[in-house]
Order: sequence, then C-alpha cells, then structure tokens
Amino acid sequence: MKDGQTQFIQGTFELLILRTLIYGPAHGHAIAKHIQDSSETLRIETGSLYPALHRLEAQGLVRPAWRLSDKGKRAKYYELTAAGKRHLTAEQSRWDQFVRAIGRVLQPAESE
Amino acid sequence: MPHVRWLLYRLRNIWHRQVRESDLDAELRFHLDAEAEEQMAAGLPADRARQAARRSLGNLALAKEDARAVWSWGPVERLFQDVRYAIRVLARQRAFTATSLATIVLIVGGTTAVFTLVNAVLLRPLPYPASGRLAIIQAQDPRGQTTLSYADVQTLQGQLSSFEAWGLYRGPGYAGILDENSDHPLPIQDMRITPELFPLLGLRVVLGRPLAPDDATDANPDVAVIGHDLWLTRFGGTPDVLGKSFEFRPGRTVTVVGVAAPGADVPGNWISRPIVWHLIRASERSSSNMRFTVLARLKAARPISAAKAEIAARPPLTDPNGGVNRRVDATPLLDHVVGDSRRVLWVFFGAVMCVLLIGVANLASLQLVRNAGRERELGLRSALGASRWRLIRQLLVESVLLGVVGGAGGLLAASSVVGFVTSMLPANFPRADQIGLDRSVWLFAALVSALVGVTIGIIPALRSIQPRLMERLNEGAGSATLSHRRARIQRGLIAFETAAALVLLVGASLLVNSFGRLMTEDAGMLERDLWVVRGALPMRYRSPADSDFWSSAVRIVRQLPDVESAALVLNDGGPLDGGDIRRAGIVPEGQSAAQGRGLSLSHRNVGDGYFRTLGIPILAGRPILDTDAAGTEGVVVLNQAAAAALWPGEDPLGKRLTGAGKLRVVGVVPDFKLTRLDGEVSLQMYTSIRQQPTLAQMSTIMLRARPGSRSIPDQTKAILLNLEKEMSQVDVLTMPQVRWKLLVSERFRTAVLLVFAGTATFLALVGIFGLVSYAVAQRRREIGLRVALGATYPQVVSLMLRQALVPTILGIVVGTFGALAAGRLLTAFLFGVQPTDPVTFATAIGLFFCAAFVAALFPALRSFRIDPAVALRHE
Repeated sequence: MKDGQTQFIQGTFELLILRTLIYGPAHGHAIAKHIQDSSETLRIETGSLYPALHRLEAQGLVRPAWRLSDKGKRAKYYELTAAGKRHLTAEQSRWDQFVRAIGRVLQPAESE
Repeated sequence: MPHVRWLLYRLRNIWHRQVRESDLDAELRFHLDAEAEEQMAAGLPADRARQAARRSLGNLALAKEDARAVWSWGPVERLFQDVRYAIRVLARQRAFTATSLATIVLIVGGTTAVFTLVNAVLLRPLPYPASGRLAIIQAQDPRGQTTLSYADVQTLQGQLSSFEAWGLYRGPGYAGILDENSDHPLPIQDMRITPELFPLLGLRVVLGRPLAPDDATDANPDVAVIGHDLWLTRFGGTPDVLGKSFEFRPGRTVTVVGVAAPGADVPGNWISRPIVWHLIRASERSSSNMRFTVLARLKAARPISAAKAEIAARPPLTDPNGGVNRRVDATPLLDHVVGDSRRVLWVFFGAVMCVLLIGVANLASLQLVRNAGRERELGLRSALGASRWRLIRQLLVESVLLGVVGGAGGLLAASSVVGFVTSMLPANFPRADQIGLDRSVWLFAALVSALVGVTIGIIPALRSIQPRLMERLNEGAGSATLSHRRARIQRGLIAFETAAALVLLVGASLLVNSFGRLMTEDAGMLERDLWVVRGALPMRYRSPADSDFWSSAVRIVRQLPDVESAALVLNDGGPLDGGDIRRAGIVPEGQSAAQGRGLSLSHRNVGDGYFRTLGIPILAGRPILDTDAAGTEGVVVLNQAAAAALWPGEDPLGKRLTGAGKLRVVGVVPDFKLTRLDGEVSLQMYTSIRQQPTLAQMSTIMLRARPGSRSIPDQTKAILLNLEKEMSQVDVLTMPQVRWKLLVSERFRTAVLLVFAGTATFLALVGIFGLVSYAVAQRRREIGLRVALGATYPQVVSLMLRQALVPTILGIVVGTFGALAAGRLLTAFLFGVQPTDPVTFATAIGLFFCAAFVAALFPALRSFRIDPAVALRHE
C-alpha cells in the first residue's frame, strides 16, 4: 500500500521531467526551474532531482550529453530518447485517465 | 528485458565509476553555479547567493549518494566501501586487531579441532553402505556382553524378521607371514568370516574372487582373500598372486584366491596390519565354544527399536551344554564402535564451547572499549547524515572481517592441531584413522567465524543505535553516563567469563587429581626399584621349547651385581601392561564347567621367584618354584579373590581345580592389581612355566634392583641382544613408566581438558586485566579528583580492584554451581575423587581468585602514576 503510494509520487515526478524535455534537451537546473515556474506551486527537491534523472537515464528514457550552456559553461544535458517519448505518451494518457477518475469521485455532481 | 538493461548499465558503471563520479561532481557543481547566478540576478550579493544555492540543494553528500545509488551497484558497492574502510580502521589500530585476531584464531581453531574429532568419530556414518542400518548382535550373560556361536546365530536367523542380512567374523588374530629369505615375519592379522560378510559390509575384491560358502572346510591349505596393502607390499601387486600359498602361522598355510579392495576392514578395528580374510572352518561352526562377532542389517525403514522389541519378545538363548541362559540384544553398529569415547568427546566439545564463549565475551568487551574511543567518530558520522543502519553495518563489517580473517587462521591452526591430536590419541581410540577435515568441518569453521564476527560486532553496534548524539559528541575522556553503562556490560562479561573458566578449571583439576591417584594407587606390589624388561624374539622361536631362551636370559640377568632378584613371566608384558590373558571354565575338581559355574581367571605363566621379585607376600602355602617342572604334579597359585570364589569359606590349599589341566593349589597370594588400576581386582591364577610350556616370543623379565641402581636398562638390553641379536621391541621400564603407558586414555583426556581449562583461565584473566586497565584510564580525572580531595592511593587502588573483583566473585559463585552440575558428567572418568571433592574445588577457586587478583592488581597500581594536577587539567 505504502509502496504503491511512493511509486505513484515518484512516477509523477519523472513524468514531469520527461514532459519538460519535450521542448528539447535541458540540464538539471533548467528542468527544475521549468517545472517550478510552470506549475507555480510545486517545489522541486533538488536532492531528489538528480537521482530521478539518473534513474531515467538508467531506464534508457533519456540520453545524457555534455554541451556548453547558453552562458558558456559545460553542462550535462538530458534529451528524450524514442523510448522516452513512447513512455511519456503512455504515462500521460494513463495520468489523464487517473485524473478524470479521481475527479468523478470527488465531484460527482459536475459530471452529470 | 528491462532487467538485462539495468544489469548491463550497472556493470558498465563498475568499470567507469571514476568517470561517473567526476561527472556527477561536475553536474552538481554546475547546478550550484546556475542557482547562484540566478540568486545574484535577483539581487543577492555573491557570497549570500552561493550560500542560498547551497541550501537549496540540501545535504550535498546525501544527494550525491542518492544519485550514485542509481548507477552504482548499490549494496555491493557500499559493502566494498565498508570493507575498505574497515581494513583501514583495523590496520590503524594494530594492537586491537592483533589481540582480536589471536583470540579468534584460538577459539575458531580450538572449536574446529574438537569438532573435527566429534565429526569423524560420532557424526560421520561408518564407511559401509546403508551403515545406519547395521547392528551388532550380542548376548548378555551374568559376566557381561559376549559374542555368539554359529548355532546361536542360526537359531536367531530363524526367529527374527527384522534383519535382511547377517555376517559373522572372528578376529583379528595376530599372525605373521614368514618370508623365505628373512627371519622377520611380516605382521598381519587374520580374520575368519562367513562369506556373507563381504556383501553385508559392501566389501569388494579387485582381483580373483570373493570367498564362497563351499570354501569352508577344515583342509590345510585353506583359501584366503588378502588385503590390498598386503598384495602390494608382499606380492608386488601382480595378478599372478592368485594361487600362491604362504604360511601365516606355524603349520598353517593359505592359498590366495582374491585381493580385497583398498581399505576393506571390519568395523572399529584399530589394528593397522594387513588383513588375511579366510572362512570360518566347518569345525568352528559346530563348536558351541567358538564365538563370533555378529553383524546384521536391518530391513529398510525398520527402526532399531522394532528389532530390539522383536528380540526381547523371544526367549533367551539356551546353552546346549546346560549353561546359563543368555539374553540377546542389538546395538546400532556406530554406537558399538564408538563406545565410551562418545562421552569423552562430548565433554571435550562442551569444554571447547566454554572456551569459545569466554573468547567471544573477551572480544565483545574489547570492542566495547575500542568503540568507546570512537564515540566521537560515530557521533560525527551520524551528524553528517549517516543512517543508524549504516553505522551498525560499518561496525558489523569490521567485526565480521575480523571473524573471517581470524577464522581462516583458525582453520589453518586446526588442521595442524588435528594431526597432532590424532597422533596423541590412544591406539584403540575408535575411528582415529578417519579423522580429517571434510566439508562439514569447513562449514563448521565458517559458521563459528561468522557467528563470532557478528556476535562481537552486535553488542557495540546495538549500543551505537542509541541516538544520544550530543552526549556522544561531547563525550571526553572522563565523562560519565555512557561509560557507566559500558562498564556495567563489561562487568557482566567478566562475571560470565569467570564462571565458565572456573567450571573448566574445576573439571580439569578433578581429572588431574584422579590421574594422580591412579599413578600413586597402591597396586599391592613393591614398585620401587622394580624393573620390567621386555623383548620379542624373531619368528623362528615358535616352539614352546624355545622358552628356554628366556630361562637362560634370567639366569644371566641374576648374575648382574645390581640385581637382587629376577623372574620370568612368559607371553605377557608384566603387571599393568594393559593386556590380559584369561582362562575360562575354571572349576573346582569334580564340578562341571557347563553348569554355568565355570569362572574366568586371569592367567600368568611365571617362573621361580616371581612373587618375591614383585614384593608380594605369600599368604599361605608356597610360591611357584623351579622344582615345579615337567613330570611333577601340576601346581597353581591363586590370589585370595580366586580362592574365595572357587572354594568359598574353605581352605584352598591342596585342593585341585580343572579347566586348564588338573592343577593342585599350592599357595595363596593377596589380591593385587594385575591388569587395571581402577575397578575390582581380577581373579588370578599363576602356573609354572616349566609345567605349562607356552609360546614365548613376547615375554618379560621382572627384576628387582638394588636401590638407586641406574645401570639396569643398559645392562639388561645388552644381555638380551647378546643372546639373540635379532631380538626386537626391547624395552626396559620402571613401574611409574608402566603406569604412564597404561593410563594413556586417562592421560589423553586429562591433557586435553587441562589445555582447555588453561586457555579459558588465561582468556578470563586477560579480560580482567583489560577491564581494570580501561577503568583506570577512563577514570583518570575522577582518580585525580579523589586524590586531590584527600583520598590515599591505597584507597584508590582498592576502588579500582573492586571494579574487577566484585564481578569475579560473582562469577566464582555462579561457576561453583556450574562446576557442581558439570562434575557429574565426569563421574565416569574419576577414580578416587568425588565430582564434588571440596579440596579440588577449593584449590581451583583459590588459584583462580589469586590469579584474578594479580591480573587486576597490576593495572590498578597504575593509578599511582596519576598526578592529580595533570589529570585534572587534562581534558
């Protein structure tokens, strides 16, 4: 039970990372900034960002590459792989279903 | 598929860990820079921006470790890290590591060595197929366990359905093969068997054929299967051995029909001579006096208890000659072979387990002390984010590492000790030839090492669980509460060690005491200046007339200036040589031996002057004289016990007995100990060598020398070798030496237990020494304060002594009760000493306490060296 919960939360975080990378390769700092800015409320624990990135890398969903950042420093950029894109699409539709299902339970009146 | 990818990814990262590590650093550094720049852009000054960035990332080390966990081989990598760290720590604390390793080698080596014995003798099955189903069938008559006749076995076979196969044998008999070219016989043992014994024990022939039922005749030459070793050494290992004949006993020849597989032997045979197997003769089958060892195999899935019940339900065996009825019993073969050694080995095992526990207690207390010095390190590490589990794991890895290294050393030590112990074992120790290191020994050593490692790590590790972070970080040399708790554990350990060591010490003292009593037990002879001169003649002296050789040797020995008297005993090694020759079926003249009244007497064939030489008075009548020669009436001298058993309440002089020829009783000697020092005096009869010629190849001259004479050994040896230069096994011994040889089993178990007790005591003393040393060091400040406030040094020393002596006394009390309980296990091994013997107890306790006092006093005296001014300023 508890296990499922963490996985769900973790999965969501990784989903957000993958979603961010759809706009093109980005380094960790940029990813964190983007998620934080676009969600307006979510605070990213930097401590868990890098482990998550490395996990995605290990699963082959993102591919790392060292490039120069726009400020001219060497940075590790992450790029979506083909598998990553497929995973994102699948996870996104599953997330949508999940949200709808939760929504129906929480606000039954509206769905009528 | 994802699993394979995951595995490959990690495998790759093992090779590239340096690169990954620097990548991670660079990645995180970039993150910090980017964050800081952002903060600066928001208007913070550079240094504040940096700090803010740092804070936003949280615990950097932890973040790194989490990231690393993704791509590194998690548990395995961390284990490697811990091991590397442990090696560094242990290498730095050399004294601690050396002490711990030495202790572990000692206890793992000791326990493994004893386990090797227990395993080989008690646990490993006998080397026969389905050996668990083999049983030995014996009869019990009023005189004890006896073997069975062929007719008995046939009766039983018809009545019992529990057994599927039977096999009989008789032997081993000592014999030798005469070589045409040499006068030295090759010693062998002959074994008479039924043809079914080979299949029953799974013995095979590698050449020729096994013995068949119709080989059993009374013909000479007989046919035989010879042992593999004999085939190789004597017949060169060639196939043309088949059909060859050889003489193995004067006038007895066998023809070889087969060669047995290597190692073929009957159970529990400890004589290491090549075996000649031949069949029980037809005449031996029909005789009711010819008895055999009977083995049988239980049917599959039939427990021994069922067989016992079946045997108990049938009537006892009757004697066709009208003797006593005998009850039959079946014993599992292993139990029979191991016999009394079972108890000895379990006592050893218990003792070595005590040593093990003491060693572990010492190690644990050593660890406690050492970790006390590491409180700050551990506190610091946990403050820096190391989880509790991580710290416990670190401590466990350290101690298990010690356990593994020490255990390997212990196993090595055990393998050499086992060889030594095996060579010390009494010759008749069961299964001594099978002692060796096998897989279960390895497993045992590994298990003990691991257990020791975990146990000594777990106590300090559990202590480090306590989350008193600040207390730990603050703890200095003198501070209080934590060291108090630690000292309590340590004192508990000391009490425990003392108790265990005392149990062993009392046990060993009881055995030493008993051994001493056996060595000095009055056997009834005058043993001062009594010498035993033994020798063995070559094989060609094989006629009874050859005993003349000995008579002339005695005559020459008597001429020696230092010799007061000398006498012969033929075919025997002298009193207390460990052997016995018995004559069964002795009855007063006119009675039938078959009425179950026949007695079994120890019989010695002696010459003139035997009793005088031994210092045994003649109670009535006369001794054996030179005039008791062939052609005169056969005479016998009895000891009191034999006379009383044959003619209760009557004067035996002049009466006659039968069973060993017709003999007239001419004298009575007191009961003295002829065969063994403990137990009842046997019934004894002495005949004249001139009337009862016997084979005399191995014989003995008993000799009484002038007090203090030292030349006897050289002179007598010279005489014997001068008479026959091929004389072998010439041995000249004093009576204490004879006793020492006789008591080989007692000596062995006493020595082993003494070693264990010594080790245990030593370890316990080391523990006490360590406790006080530590207490003095730990309480420097307190001692300084006490002295500054007016305490005298003797007061301080006694304070420190109390640290150790209170738990020691507690341990002694507990140990005394333990020894009272454990002593009962030794009852069977004690002679003339009660297992509760107060003197032994008092001696052991006194010794231990004095040693403990000294062990505690030395470090306690060190508090003299504490200068209050220095101690108080120190912190």
